[in-house]
Amino acid sequence: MPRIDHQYIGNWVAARSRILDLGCEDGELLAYLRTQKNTHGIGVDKNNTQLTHCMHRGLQAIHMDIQEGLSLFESKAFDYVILSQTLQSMSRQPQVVVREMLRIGKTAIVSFPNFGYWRLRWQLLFGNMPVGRYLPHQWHNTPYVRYCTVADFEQWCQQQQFFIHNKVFLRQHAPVQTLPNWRAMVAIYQLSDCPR
Amino acid sequence: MPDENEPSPAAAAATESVGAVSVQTMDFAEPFVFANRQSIPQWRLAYETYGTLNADASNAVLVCHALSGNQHAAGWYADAPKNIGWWDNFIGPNKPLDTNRFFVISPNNLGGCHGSSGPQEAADDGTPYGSRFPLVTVEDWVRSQKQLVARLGVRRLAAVVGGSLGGMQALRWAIDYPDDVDAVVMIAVSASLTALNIAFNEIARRTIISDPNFNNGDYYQQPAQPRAGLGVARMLGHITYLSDRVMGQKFGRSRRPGAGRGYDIEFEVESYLRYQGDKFSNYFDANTYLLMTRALDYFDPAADADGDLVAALAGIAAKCLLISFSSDWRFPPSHSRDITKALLASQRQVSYLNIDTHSGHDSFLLANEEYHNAVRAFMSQLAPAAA
Repeated sequence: MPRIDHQYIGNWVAARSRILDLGCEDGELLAYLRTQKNTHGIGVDKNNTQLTHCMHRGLQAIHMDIQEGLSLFESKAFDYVILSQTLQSMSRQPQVVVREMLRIGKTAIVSFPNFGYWRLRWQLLFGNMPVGRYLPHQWHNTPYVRYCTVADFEQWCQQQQFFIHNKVFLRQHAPVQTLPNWRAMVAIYQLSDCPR
Repeated sequence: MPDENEPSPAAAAATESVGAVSVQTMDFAEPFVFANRQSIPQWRLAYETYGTLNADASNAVLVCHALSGNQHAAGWYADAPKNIGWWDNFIGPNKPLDTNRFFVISPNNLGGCHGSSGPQEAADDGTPYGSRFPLVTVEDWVRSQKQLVARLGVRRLAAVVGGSLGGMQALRWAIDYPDDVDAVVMIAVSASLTALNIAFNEIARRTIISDPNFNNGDYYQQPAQPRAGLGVARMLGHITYLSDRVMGQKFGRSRRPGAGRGYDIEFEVESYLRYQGDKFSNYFDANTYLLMTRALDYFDPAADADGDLVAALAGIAAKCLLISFSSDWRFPPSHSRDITKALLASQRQVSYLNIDTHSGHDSFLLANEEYHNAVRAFMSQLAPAAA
């Protein structure tokens, strides 16, 4: 079974499009999109072992620290630039990365764990740092440095003038229709630099 | 460029080898016309092969050597079992270039000194070419390799693979023969030398040319050869293939036992460099060293496209893999990134990895798991059936 967040990203992606996945890990998402939509994908990561997995899948793989800029890529070279579950690990200002994503791609797709999810709030209410499906680490070993809620993210997009074209909120196995800031475990947004 | 004739400890420890190999030669009865329009009336390439060519000749991989290399890339000689090929950790059964799947062709370049036509060879008048051997370019090498490969019954190569100057040949192959190569692997490579790189080469050449025995390149019939100059050239080159850190680890400031204070060999690093220089000057040819360094200096595919690297590489059809090493200051990672960027700009198929190492430019000859696994993964996606 493909991951539910990958399935919903796949719903937005047009057939035969060019996709760049930033923080691609082992290339699972790109391989899924290739199977479903016959896309052409390039994976970017700073971990050579992960990039080698990508190459084993027949994907193009590029070693790069995305926080040092995306200057390897031409403007509007991709239909979609994806930042899947990577925003939370970025120590530098994320708006710089998203702006670069919108330079090299027609649209950007960003997904992140929603820190406003009620079970996480519940854990915090009882005095512990939240741990869950999309936040699997303990406070002392987490690589995540940046936590935000659905509400925070949308306010930030407005400030930065990132225009939201699509969004979807997911629980474990299904989308969330109401009260996403309470009920979504993960949020996925499609952004561009111009209003629709 | 670096130390290809010294297998790394990892190479020696490798269990699977192609085994005993022998040098073969291919003679071409027609002239070879070099890029500068000079020619030689007939020519020869020495080469070795490993693995077996499959029925439809689709599993051939060409390995290109670097500055001081030769055709002996893997295995050993029956009469010299300690003479192990310079890339033995990379080529062999189940190694990154897997000879169970691929038929590997490893030539000695034109202008070389290990059996291919070069300055040492006798010209038609019976005396060695010496200074009369034409200046050779990377394009010339690639064109001569193409003829060798064709003679071996291979129209289309599954891959061309090389490090350093060898990687430049792989890049030239992809540019010059887009229909005849499926994939290229370019390791520790550059699309053109920087002024610093040319400067190192120039110093190496000056030490050779100013050796009193050099005699303008026509020294073969003298009793004394320009070994001292060649040795110093090698010492200089050798330093540039290492890194401050790895030299510190290897030698530090260690001194020879009983060393005094003067100009003898007193530090261990001096002893090592002199040994490397002496050893090299006993088996390598000074004229070949000059030719190879000049081929490096002149390599600049972007120059054919008014300095536009994107345009120069836009016709490439091969899948490309580039690998650089963090500690390589001779061809630093930025050089590989420039090629990657140019290939991406015209939507060529390219993957690029930067490997964290301490061993400098020489890293490409050493067995590093990340590096070797990446090449394995890339090669696994190439289609040819085993023999």
